Amino acid sequence: MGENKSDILQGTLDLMVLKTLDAMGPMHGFGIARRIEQIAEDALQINQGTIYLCLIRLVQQGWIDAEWGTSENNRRAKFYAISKSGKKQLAEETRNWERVSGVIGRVLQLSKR
Amino acid sequence: MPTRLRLLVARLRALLANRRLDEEFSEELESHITFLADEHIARGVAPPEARRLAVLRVGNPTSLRLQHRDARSVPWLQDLWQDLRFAARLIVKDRWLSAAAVAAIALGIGANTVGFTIINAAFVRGFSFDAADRLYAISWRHPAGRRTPASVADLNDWRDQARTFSGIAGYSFDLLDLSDNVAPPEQAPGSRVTANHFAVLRQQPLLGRDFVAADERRDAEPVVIIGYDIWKNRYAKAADVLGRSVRVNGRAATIVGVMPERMKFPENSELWMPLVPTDEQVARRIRSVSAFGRLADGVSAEAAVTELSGLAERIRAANPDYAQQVAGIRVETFLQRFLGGAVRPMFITVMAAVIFVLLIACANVANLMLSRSTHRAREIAVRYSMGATRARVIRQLLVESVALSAVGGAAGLGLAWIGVGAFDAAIQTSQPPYWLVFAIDYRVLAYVAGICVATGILFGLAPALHVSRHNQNDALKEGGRGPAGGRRASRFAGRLVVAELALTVVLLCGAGLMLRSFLALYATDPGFDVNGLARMRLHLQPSGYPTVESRNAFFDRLLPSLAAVPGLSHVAVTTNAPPLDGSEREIVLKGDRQDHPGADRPVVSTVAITPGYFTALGVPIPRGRDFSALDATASDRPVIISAVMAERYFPGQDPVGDRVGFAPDEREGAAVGAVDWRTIVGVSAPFLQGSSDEAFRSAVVYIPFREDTPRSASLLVRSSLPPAALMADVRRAVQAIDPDQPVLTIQTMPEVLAEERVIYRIFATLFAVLAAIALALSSVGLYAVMANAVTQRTQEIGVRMAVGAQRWQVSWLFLKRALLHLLLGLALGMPAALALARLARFRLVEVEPNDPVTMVGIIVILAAVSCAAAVLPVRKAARVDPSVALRAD
Repeated sequence: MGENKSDILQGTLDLMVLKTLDAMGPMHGFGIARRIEQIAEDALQINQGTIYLCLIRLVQQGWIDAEWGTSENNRRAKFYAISKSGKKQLAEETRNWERVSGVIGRVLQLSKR
Repeated sequence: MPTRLRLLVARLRALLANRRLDEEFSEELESHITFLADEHIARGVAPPEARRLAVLRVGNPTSLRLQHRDARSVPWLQDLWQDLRFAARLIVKDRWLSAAAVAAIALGIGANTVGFTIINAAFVRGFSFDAADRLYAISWRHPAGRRTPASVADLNDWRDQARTFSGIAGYSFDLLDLSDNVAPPEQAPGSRVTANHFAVLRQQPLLGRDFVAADERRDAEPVVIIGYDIWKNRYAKAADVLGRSVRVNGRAATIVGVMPERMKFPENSELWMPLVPTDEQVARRIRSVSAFGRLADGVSAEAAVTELSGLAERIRAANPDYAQQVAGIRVETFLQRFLGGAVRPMFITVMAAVIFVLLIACANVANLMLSRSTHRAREIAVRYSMGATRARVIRQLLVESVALSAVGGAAGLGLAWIGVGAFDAAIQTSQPPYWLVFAIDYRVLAYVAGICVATGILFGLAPALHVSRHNQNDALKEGGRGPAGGRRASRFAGRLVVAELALTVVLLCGAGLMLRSFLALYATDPGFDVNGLARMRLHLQPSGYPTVESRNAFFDRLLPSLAAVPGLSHVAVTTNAPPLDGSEREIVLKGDRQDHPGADRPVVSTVAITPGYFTALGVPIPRGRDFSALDATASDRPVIISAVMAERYFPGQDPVGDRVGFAPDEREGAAVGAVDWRTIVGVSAPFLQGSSDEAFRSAVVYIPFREDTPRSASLLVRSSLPPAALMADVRRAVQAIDPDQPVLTIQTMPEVLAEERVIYRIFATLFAVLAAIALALSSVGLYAVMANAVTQRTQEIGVRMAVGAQRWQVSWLFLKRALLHLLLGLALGMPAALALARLARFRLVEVEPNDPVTMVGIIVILAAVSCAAAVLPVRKAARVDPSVALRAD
């Protein structure tokens, strides 16, 4: 069961990372982690390092590209940017998510009545 | 799918670049930590504390690195690689144990590979034609069950009406004489085939064209397709061979095609001509065509049999002769049709034997692994305490054993290569069918790869399960020699040895019986004097000798001139020199109903001989007389019968003066003529002449040679000359009569006998080698188990001796165990061996399956070898010094 839970988490994390990169343009891992934390407002408490497990998967799937660069405060960091196929994937995942969350929402409404 | 493929490629690449990616990830993490720390510092936290907080927020770097590794690559592959490296280190470390295991596996897999190569040649590779498994041989079924050829009309009916076949072709096999202006005339096995013969086989010519329907017409220009060997040997692979005019059986024909190498279908044909049917063939009076067809797509063999049976019934109903002479149709795969009846079970027996050898090798190696893994209990306990799961430990142990068996398999492949070479060289002397090719091909290699993995798992699984069951606390506490585990291991080892011994008994039994029948065959008195006797084959050209009279004239001149050669004491001419017999015929005995059709008539073989045949052989004629020159034309049609024939059909009587009839031969022309009655004028003494299936002891009827002088004959010559000189003399005598007439190579009678027995020799040798391997493996296995037991129980022996046990009592303790293993092995193996021997009696000659000599021999050999294997460990046990043993770890 624990595995299933993390699978769901993994899927959502993928989606969040893709969306973040799509909205914000190229970012390094720290930036992505910080951004997701800000939006989640402490609802999502994970080790920041876990973000890299997600990033390497996305890179290998070809949905994001990675490149070493220099940050605004002149530090070396790896920057990630969403690719064309990543955008397609994001659109599809978003549709999926909306459909599923819509269904779940309706089911929950139903049981409330 | 491309995403998944891309992912796999990315991950495999990540696996290869592991170190670089690790470094890169560390760098990335480090930069992340620095960003976080910078934030804390900006808020006024002291730098060391800021860094500590940052690391806390990011997570344990070591653990993250491992997780990252798993996420980006293929974890199980990585583990496998690690296990393999560990296994390789272990193999090198325990090099003696590894060498022993590799040797055992190499022998097992080597033998097994030879066995599979044989099976592969016969049952898998088979004929090389495209979709050869869709080809079926079609023949009439004689009431007695055997195959009977078809007439051209039958073939045409089948071809026109059968919907289940995409094509039906036919051939009749013959010896064809080929002559031209290039080289001396030669005689080659050849076939007359229907024009679609090669098309149904899906065989393209190497050069030139296939036959076409027009070639079958009676007014067509005669054409011939030659085989690769003739093209190479006679025409030196000349490119302009096509269109050349040659003479086949004295008639001009044009070469229109050349078949590729190793294509000699049917039989071992080297020449093919179109089958141009005669009136008689078309009119169903002569049945001489062997038919075969290719099943249409999607049609099952059963459907084809059903349809052909229906067609056959119609032919039988329309032709009264057929109703008596054939009982139905026979449809067989090419393998069923062309792989000899006795060869098939022989090959299967070999395969069974090599599986036994492999099982013995596996049991042996399992024992070795077990003895090692008991020592490794501590290492495994450490693995468990570090959090390894049982599955992980078992997997690691299995990877080790599979690695070991892969090394052994590679060595075994080397052995197999030698073995297959030797087997092929030996079998070539028995003139096997052209399509049986014993070679290590890709199928054999795939088989070896599969068997390596299977073997590794087979001998590795039991020890792995056993060791991984160990209670790690015990193992850690007691220095890796938990007494309970040790005893369980040694019980298991004992069982393995018993199994090995039992399998060895079975193999020894098989080999023993084979060897006995082979030796018996050799020891058998052939019944005639082989020394100084030689055979030369002679085929008269049909162009020069078209009639019986012309052939008689040739022999009338030859025999006196040979008799005049100095040093040559006897000469005779026959269709078949012993130990082989001639064509089979059905006979009618005096009491039989003469109009009784086919079914139950006894079959005997016939051999045509000149007077003096028995004198030349040195075989007496105890009853009656030899042929005289007048017998060929005598009105009472005299024959001589063999001792076996007299015993079988005239028991307790004197057959001389009695009569025996040949049933009308339906092959020559159905029901024409009545029974051909013969008068028996003599009975020969027993000697070897007959079919190999009957160990050369068949019922034979000898008929006068000149009755129907054949074109092919054997000269039987007794002389004091060396074979080469004799050959030269005979050739001179023959060519003085006809300068163009070739004489085929001389063979001395011992050579002829050896050739006929070669198949027994090959298989007896093969089984002897397999049994020797099995014996060696199982005795080494017994030795290892005993030695291990003595080592493990050194302390116990010390205690026993300290409290007053005598050396003989200690020896007996271990000897008892070895004997128990031996007795159990015999008790399990003997009944199995007897049962199998009864199944395998097909190739036993002169020996009963429960031959007491063989059985006692096996027990003696096995007991002797087992005791020899046990003696060293037992002596070691008896020499234990109690004061040292008690202090031993």
